[in-house]
Amino acid sequence: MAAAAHHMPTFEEKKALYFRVFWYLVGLTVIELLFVQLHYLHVPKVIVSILVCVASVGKAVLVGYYYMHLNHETKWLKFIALLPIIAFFYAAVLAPDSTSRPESKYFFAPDRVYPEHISGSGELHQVGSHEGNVDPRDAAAIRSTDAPGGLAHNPDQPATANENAPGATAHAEPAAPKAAPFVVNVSADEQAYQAPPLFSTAPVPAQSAVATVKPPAVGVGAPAAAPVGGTSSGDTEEDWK
Amino acid sequence: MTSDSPSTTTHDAHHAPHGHGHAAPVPFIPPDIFRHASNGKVGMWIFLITDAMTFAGFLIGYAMLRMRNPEWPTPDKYLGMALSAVATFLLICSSVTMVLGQSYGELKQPRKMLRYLLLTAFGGIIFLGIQVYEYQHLFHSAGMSFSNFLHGPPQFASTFFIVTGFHGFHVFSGVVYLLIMALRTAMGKYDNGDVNHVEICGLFWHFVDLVWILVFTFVYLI
Repeated sequence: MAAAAHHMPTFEEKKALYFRVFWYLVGLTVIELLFVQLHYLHVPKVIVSILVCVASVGKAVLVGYYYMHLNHETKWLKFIALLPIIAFFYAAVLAPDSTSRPESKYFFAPDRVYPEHISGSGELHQVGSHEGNVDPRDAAAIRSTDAPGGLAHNPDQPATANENAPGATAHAEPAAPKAAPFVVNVSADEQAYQAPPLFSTAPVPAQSAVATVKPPAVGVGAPAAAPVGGTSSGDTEEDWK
Repeated sequence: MTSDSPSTTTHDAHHAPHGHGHAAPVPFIPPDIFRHASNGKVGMWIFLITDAMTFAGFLIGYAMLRMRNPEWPTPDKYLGMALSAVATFLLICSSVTMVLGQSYGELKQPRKMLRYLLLTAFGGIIFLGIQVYEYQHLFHSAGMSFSNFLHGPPQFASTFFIVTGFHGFHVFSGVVYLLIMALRTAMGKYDNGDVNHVEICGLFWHFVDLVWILVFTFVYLI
């Protein structure tokens, strides 16, 4: 009964409504173009952008509500149609945060230093051309290069990606063990990035202890803690012996 | 409920025993949350929502790249704002022809509906022609390619082509969709006034128009 009582617009009424919305859309488009010209009148760009966005959203609402007949749909369908807007705002909030993370290539932070970067002679091996953070894959490349039984370790030659190529291990020679411990100066920022060991119930070592790296009796560059993105396999001291 | 049940008339229908010692099952009637909307229409809405999220991802990515790049050029310096405004006007007009065509279909005037459907598809083809012309101009005169830009960061070119190209693909799909609907109209499939399929096609076309309104603002105007 309620549906019968509901006024169904005639064709002429619908036609008039469609053309009225059409002229609204054309008018808003012209207003948008005029808003853009405000920039030349020294109106701040932020205000111009907000005005243009408001006009644009108004046009989108007109199209969705009248041309896509959301005005005749139930509140459930209207709610479903609004879902992308919710997702849009959610993503818009998360996106700036994601680019501020250390893992993001847009985040400018000092290079992190892992024990794998350090050769037996105590020199710091920096691989990769990335100016920001050291990618965990680079750290993995260094580990496989310096590991006994892996690639040959040459303290005078920095590790490169080519040394990881298949077949390179045929020329591997065991590295000379370095007994003397050495100390690497690690800045406070680098200490902050030191990740706790994975799959371990042991307490996280103090930062001062992390800064001092002691090579094992056999092999070089044993890690004091698992690097970011690393696994427990091959990262313990026993695996390096 | 069988008619030979002795207690049928003495109990409430929901609790009438039917020989097993428990109440009869009550049929589940789902709430009519979409009222007159057909399954196809609801399905198209769900598809459009996912599509809108894809576009939202592109536009947010564009915004992030632009926000983080101080050398990002002013769009109207290299992109043809007047030409894109004409394209916007064209899509708005095609939306009007689309709803008019659907209305004529509901009035059981298939020939007029066919005419307006073809007019809508023609508007889409003109829009694509404008886009091809604009791409040619940007390639040859503005120093833009899909992955490089001579006068600024390459992301300016790549994001522009991704966003507008993805939308152009939608316009192309919409034109094909409209032509199929026009063909079915010419075959007399909608002579009875049941234009549900055309309405679903119209939803897609209006969505293309709606997205272009936002793309025009974010990529060309701001």
